[in-house]
Amino acid sequence: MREWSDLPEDILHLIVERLGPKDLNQFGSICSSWSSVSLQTWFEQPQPWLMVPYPNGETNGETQGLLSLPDRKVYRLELPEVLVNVHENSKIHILYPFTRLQLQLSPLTTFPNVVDTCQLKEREVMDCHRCPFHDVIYYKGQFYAIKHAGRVLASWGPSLQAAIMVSPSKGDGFDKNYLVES
Amino acid sequence: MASSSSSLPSPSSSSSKKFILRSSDGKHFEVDEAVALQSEMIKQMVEDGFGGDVIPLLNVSSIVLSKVIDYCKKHVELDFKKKMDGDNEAHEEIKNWDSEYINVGVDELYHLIMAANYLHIKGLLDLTCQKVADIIKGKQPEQIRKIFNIENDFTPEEEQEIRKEHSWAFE
Repeated sequence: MREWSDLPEDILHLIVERLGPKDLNQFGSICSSWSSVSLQTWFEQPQPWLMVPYPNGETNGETQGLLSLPDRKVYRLELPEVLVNVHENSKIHILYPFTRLQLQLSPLTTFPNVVDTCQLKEREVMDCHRCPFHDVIYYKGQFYAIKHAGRVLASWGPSLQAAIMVSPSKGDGFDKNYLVES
Repeated sequence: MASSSSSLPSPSSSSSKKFILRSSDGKHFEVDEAVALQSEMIKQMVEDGFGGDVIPLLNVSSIVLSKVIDYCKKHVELDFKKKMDGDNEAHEEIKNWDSEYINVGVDELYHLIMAANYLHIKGLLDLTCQKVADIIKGKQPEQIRKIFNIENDFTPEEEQEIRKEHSWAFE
């Protein structure tokens, strides 16, 4: 009986689009017809996976996570290769692990609203590391950043020198603050 | 059982128009227009002028057709209820009824998928494909093959290649 393996391809597509990556992977190893549909699906995913830190405190930076939007899960990825590589000179390479295909994108600095942070002076970068921001936006030629306790900083010019703009006199009591345009 | 008639005071029974559907094994089913038109394929046939006659459904047996008609009748009824009572309550009822309805073995599920595809009944196709996906979820390939009675038709070389392709991720 070959009924299930002979399902029309459009029906198999309707089934695989309801599977998360892990089950799609299993689906592809059942039989040859299911395998070919599974492979097509990998290449047609409307929402590509996003590389994120693997949410596990014990990892030492060698393990990456892939966030899959359809099933809202982070999968652990262990690969000898790097998937997306942003160089110091802002060049971006993308590697597709199945095919080993490498693509080179336009440098980051050619994107709109991107400032080449390699030009930052060391002191300023250090300041950023020591005082993590809750949120940063770029608005009308300036960066605005909000820090703990609701202090808002604005910065301008190529040096990104910052000044405190708003410093609330009392604690706001919120864990996290965001900046929005208004 | 040569014909199927509605015992419920169906909301669409006021519409006098009836259709007769003929299954692949020659049985006749009389259904309300609204029920028959749940099928996009029948709708198209009616628009093309087949409305007055018996509609032959060459790919659907009487056993499967009867089950498909159950689905269409219930959904006409629930759609009507949705309009009258509001979305939330009806939504819950549809969900519960669907999950009870689709609680079938894989052979029956296969025939329902094929019928839903042939008759172009989107809701039923979604429901049946979701059921297949739910069965597959979390299972190993060997379990899946056993449930669906699928033969492993890979050559040893292909199998090795697939194992390689599929081993790169996943926790």
